Amino acid sequence: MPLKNKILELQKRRELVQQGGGEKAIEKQIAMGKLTARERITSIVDKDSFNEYDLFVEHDARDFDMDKVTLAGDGVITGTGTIYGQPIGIYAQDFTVAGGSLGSMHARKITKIMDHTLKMKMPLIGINDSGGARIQEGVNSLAGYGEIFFRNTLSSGVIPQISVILGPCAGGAVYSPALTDFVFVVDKISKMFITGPEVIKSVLGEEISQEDLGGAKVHSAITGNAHFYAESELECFEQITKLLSFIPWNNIKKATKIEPKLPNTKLKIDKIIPEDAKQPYDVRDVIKCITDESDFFEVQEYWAANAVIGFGRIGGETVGFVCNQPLVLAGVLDCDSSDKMARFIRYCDAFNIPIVTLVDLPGYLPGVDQEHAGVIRHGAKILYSYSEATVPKVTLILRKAYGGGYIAMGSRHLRADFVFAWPTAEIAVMGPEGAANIIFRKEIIAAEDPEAMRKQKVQEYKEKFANPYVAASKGYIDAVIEPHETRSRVIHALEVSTYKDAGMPKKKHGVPPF
Amino acid sequence: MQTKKADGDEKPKFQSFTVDETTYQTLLTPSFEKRKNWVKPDEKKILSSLPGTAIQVNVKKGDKVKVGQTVLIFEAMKMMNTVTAYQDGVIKDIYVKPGDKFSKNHLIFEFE
Repeated sequence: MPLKNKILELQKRRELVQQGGGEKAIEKQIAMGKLTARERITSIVDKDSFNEYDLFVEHDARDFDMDKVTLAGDGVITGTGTIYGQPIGIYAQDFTVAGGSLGSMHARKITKIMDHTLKMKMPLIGINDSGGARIQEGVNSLAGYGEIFFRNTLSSGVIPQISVILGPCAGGAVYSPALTDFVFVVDKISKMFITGPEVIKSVLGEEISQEDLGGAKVHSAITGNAHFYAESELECFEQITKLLSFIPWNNIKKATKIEPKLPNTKLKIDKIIPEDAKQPYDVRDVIKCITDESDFFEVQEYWAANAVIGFGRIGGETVGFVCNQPLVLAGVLDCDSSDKMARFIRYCDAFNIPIVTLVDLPGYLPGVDQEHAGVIRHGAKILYSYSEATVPKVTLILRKAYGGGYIAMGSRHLRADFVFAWPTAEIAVMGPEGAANIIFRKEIIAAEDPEAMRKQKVQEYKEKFANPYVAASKGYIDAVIEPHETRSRVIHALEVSTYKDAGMPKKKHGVPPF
Repeated sequence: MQTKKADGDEKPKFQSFTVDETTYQTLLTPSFEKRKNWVKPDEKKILSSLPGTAIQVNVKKGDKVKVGQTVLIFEAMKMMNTVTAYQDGVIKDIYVKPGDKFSKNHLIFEFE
């Protein structure tokens, strides 16, 4: 065969596989409001940077007449590319090919690119759009999932792992995203659950739509399984590239420091905290007053909104914010907000991102439901994560820091490197009302007018203890600062932390209160 | 999706929320608003521990049962499961019959 023909043959073979499941299946995919797997990859990576591998991989299933079936690329596209000119590994399940079902060769393509990304120390982006296990391949498809989960775990804390749910992701398939760092979902497209509506209906008689059971909104607001919610696939891809602009490419590197820029918000940092200490404010307004260009990239915005976490830059350097949100539930800690904060702290610590903690909380959420849901072990996760984190830790107490909440929120005692407080800070063993009722119980009962006495004692307690100066007198906080000094203080703290080296005892790993 | 934003023209509706005897003005979360008040479980009422389908009911109203006696066999999670009496007693009533599908925490039977 002449060379020309051999090249023609290659072109023909390529073209055939690149059509995926064929025109009809692609039409269906588009009708569902979805992009094709190939479009998704090329929309995420730098233009013309995608290099595909394993295009000609074929499954080797023999049962159920599978030997007569050819599946283009075995239903998944894998390869490498660049984002911001930096290398990444990526795969996208192709729903047009046998519903993106996962068989052993499909899984092997994925694990091959996973091994590659881990070795090359670059981020991995996995696009999920699959009906689940390829039943005809039996236990081999289960083996495939297991091999993926194992690699997700090995890569955890070494390279950033991003999961993008752009279609169904059900049954065992959900556990790969769950093991990765960030899960992106898109309204009306993403569907994640362990058991689908049909099984639930047959077992329970309960009828629920896929959307209501495990749609994008559900996972963004109720379960906390998703970290980023978008209205469209293109918005989702912008979120992915924005995330990658903040984080380092692996756990050896630091995030790229860029040219520092001043905050550009019109908000006045000295005027955010209301006069009345019982009134709320949006802690994100404080963040905007101290970050470069007032930019804040929030993670898990809609779930456990009494905690705010996310990335911003201060003086050109990426930091992770961990904050109480007085706007929602007065900023209390509860099971969900504890999980949210603790995991994010561990992410930042694994990837050398300094943590800036903004504190304003009245304590833990009271209630039988919280106690029975295990707020003890959930709350302990925050203590564990802060204590274990060796990245620079800067804590700023804005207003209330009472009781266990004070200790948990990046306190000196958990080895914060810098603890600042605003003059509005109230650092005390508990809120003035509660404390006065206990300490002055006898006086209040004995008084002629107990209510007046109670008020007087609360006031006394407030004046004496609801301030930052008792804690400052013990050196538990390093400086009481004016709000407008915050940014320069944090920038300096980060500079001073450049060579931070906090030793930890040698161990295989700890036993965190999962 | 709605974001919880404080600025803008609309002032969000803050609600009273008490922690440690201090009442704050704040927004509530859906999960907080939907939380159920705890009630002490009634030990005479036996609830299902799993969702399932009743297969065989071994007792009827007024029957005396001994501790450990099988009251109900039901299919759940691809297995046959049993509900046994945790104490000696008299069945006040039984609320499932063979073929009934029930969810978790469904009332199965009651002791007198």
